[in-house]
Amino acid sequence: MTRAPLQKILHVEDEDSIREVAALALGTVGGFTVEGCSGGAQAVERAPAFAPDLVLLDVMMPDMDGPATLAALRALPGLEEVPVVFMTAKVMAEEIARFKDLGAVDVIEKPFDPMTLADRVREIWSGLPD
Amino acid sequence: MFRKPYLVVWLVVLLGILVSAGLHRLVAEREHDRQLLAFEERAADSILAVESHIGATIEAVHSIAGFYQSSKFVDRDEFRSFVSGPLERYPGIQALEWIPRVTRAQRWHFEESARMAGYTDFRFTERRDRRLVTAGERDEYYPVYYVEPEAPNQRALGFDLASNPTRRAALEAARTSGKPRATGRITLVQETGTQFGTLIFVPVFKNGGRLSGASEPRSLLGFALGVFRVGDMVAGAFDSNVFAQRAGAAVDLYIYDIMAPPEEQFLHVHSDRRDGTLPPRLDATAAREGFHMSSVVTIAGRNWLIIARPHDPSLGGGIMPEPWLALFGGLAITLLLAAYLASVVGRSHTIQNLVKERTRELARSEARAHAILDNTVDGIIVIDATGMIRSFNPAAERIFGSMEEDVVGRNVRMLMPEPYHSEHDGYIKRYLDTGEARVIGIGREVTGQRRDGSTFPMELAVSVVRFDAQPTFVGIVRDLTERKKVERMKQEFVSTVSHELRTPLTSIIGSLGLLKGGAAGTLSETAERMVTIAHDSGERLVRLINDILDIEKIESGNMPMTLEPLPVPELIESVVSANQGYAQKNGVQLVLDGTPPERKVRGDRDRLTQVLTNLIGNAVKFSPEGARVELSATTAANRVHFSVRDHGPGIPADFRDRIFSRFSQADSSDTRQKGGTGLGLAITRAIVESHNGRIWFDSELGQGSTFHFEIPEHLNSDTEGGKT
Repeated sequence: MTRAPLQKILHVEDEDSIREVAALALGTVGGFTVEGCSGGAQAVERAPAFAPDLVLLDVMMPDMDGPATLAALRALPGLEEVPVVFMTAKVMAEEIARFKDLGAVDVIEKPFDPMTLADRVREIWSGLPD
Repeated sequence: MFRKPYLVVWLVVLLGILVSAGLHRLVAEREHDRQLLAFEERAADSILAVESHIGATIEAVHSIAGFYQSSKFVDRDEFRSFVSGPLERYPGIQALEWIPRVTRAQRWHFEESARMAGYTDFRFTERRDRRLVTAGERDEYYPVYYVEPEAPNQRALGFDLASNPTRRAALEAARTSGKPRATGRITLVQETGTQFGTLIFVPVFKNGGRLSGASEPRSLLGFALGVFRVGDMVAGAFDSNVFAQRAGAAVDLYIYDIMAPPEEQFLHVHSDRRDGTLPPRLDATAAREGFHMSSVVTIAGRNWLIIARPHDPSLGGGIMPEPWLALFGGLAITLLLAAYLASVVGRSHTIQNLVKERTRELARSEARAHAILDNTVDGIIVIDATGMIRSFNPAAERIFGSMEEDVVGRNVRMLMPEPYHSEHDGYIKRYLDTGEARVIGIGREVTGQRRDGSTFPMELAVSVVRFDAQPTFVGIVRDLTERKKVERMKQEFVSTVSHELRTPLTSIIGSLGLLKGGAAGTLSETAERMVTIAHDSGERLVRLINDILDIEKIESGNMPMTLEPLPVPELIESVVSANQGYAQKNGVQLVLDGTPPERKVRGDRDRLTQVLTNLIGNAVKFSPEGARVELSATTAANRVHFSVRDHGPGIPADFRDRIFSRFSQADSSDTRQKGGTGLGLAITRAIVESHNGRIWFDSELGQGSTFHFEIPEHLNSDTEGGKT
């Protein structure tokens, strides 16, 4: 595998407590560098400077929802190709297909298991094509 | 009875009475005229007969005068033979006599000569003190010298007529005028009955010449005298004339001498009344009252008035049968006609009433139907085979925003947006030609177009009704706008709620997971136990929310489903392998019973997997350790039948009815014990039914339960995929 190991994750989630749990699960448990954003606008603002390897994106958010944020991020220079994983409630097969059509590489179901979340992300990362 | 329909009957009755009365009057007049005419004919016949008979009778006297005129001397025998003919023919002649003028000097010679002829007691006589005595001395005598017939008139022989004033007056008048003269009525010497008589004197002069002047009495030879019975003359007239005979039966004939003083005018009345009654004796004035016919005839210088009167003086004023026949006949016909008309009118009236009642019933039933149409919540639109709108109820007006008068007579296309708008005529034509129905008899969700051009979802059900072989389409329309809005709101609510619930749950479960995983350092045993309980409960809550969302989606038809042909063996195998781990964990053997048929079902892979997983999960949960759960699949009648059998405790009887209901579990302790949500079988049934399938079970307490479901087999392997 020639791909660089996953280091920086941008997590976009409007709910503070979930963002905090995720930061613990990914940072403390998983050892990644996590930048938490409370919404799409903030993500667009911080992403260029942070330059994430991967983006975890909540679907249902006020103002800018997941797909809109995805489109906005992809429009930023240097982020055209950044892998985006949606995080959403129990999903159906066809919803996953729809999200993938939008450009997402995968979907992680909420609520997630904080002890295995990092492993799940790493697994997605390693499964990405070169 | 005076109700309007019978007016015509009453009019007919009235008209009939008027006509009958008119007819009665007309016939009465005709009959009266006829009787009058008949009377007049008979009266004329009688009068004529009497006149001519009297004329003929008195002619006898004239002929005697002519006889004397033409003869030098007439002896007694010659006289007798001459008058015998008339006497025989005319019964009204009482006597025919020769009255010579005899001077005082000639008296002896005449008396002597008669005595010589055998009349030994002959002398000139006169009436004095009601007795016949020898005539006194005077210058002239006018004695009855010859008289025929002799026997009944013997006492008159020798009687000097000049001695009687009545006779003398006539005699003098005859001599003076030189013409025949009659007396007024006289009671005849010989008469024993009631009839009056008259004497007619015809003067006979010397040299056959007419009397040149009254001053020459010496040239007078004497008088031919006829004594006549008026009654017998009239009777003779009737006897000798057939017309008079016939007339006599109907006519009374009165004869008056109108030159006499009134009290002496009556001469005779003749009647042949059949009933034998006698006519009243009227004076001349009275006889000329009422119906009569009269004629004046001059008899020897006297004017006789002959009056014919009908026996019935009112002449038809009495009861004649004909007019009454006309009246009653007319009334009878009127009555019959009226009765017939009344029955006809009555019958037609009955029919009219019947028609009226039926019409009323019809109107009532139509009003009822209208009331239903007008008040129904659904729009009802009736169109004919050409697509023309025939009726449009108030609900349809409300739904489409158009008034009935604006749409009736127009094509129903106006209520549809494209592409239906352009294609609708084709639908009807195709249906009429081939019977292929898109909406008819099915009912589906379509889009309607309001008057303002806006569109809306609606449910449309069309049925075909045939009136007189003409197909008429009845469309029932329900506006789904509200329902859709409510559904959308409900959906939004559910998804919002579930999102709002899940967000804190995600934090809770995440935090508890971190604690449990030691991310916050090692926990005491008790703390770890408590964190585990909280964590498990959180997870159950998430499952519950997911199940609620599922069932809402399936039941509202919003669960996205991909129907595709699924090979039964593949489906079964994947389900078995996916659930093997769970079964083993619970110490249960999950086995496939028999070989699944090489068939396909048409369904959504994930949903059918969910159904089988639910059923297997329940079977495992309720199986004792070491028991088997058997899965099988068979086909029959184009359906694939799946079953999951367990050998658990069986389903309690009181639970069987509600086993597929939401939040139903055999008892509340199960919930905690088995970790279910109580929604699993409700979701399972909803999925099976959305596949046009059915689900059921059989169970025996202590023996176990078997859950069955069957769904249609996919038959045509050529058509792959497709969405509903």
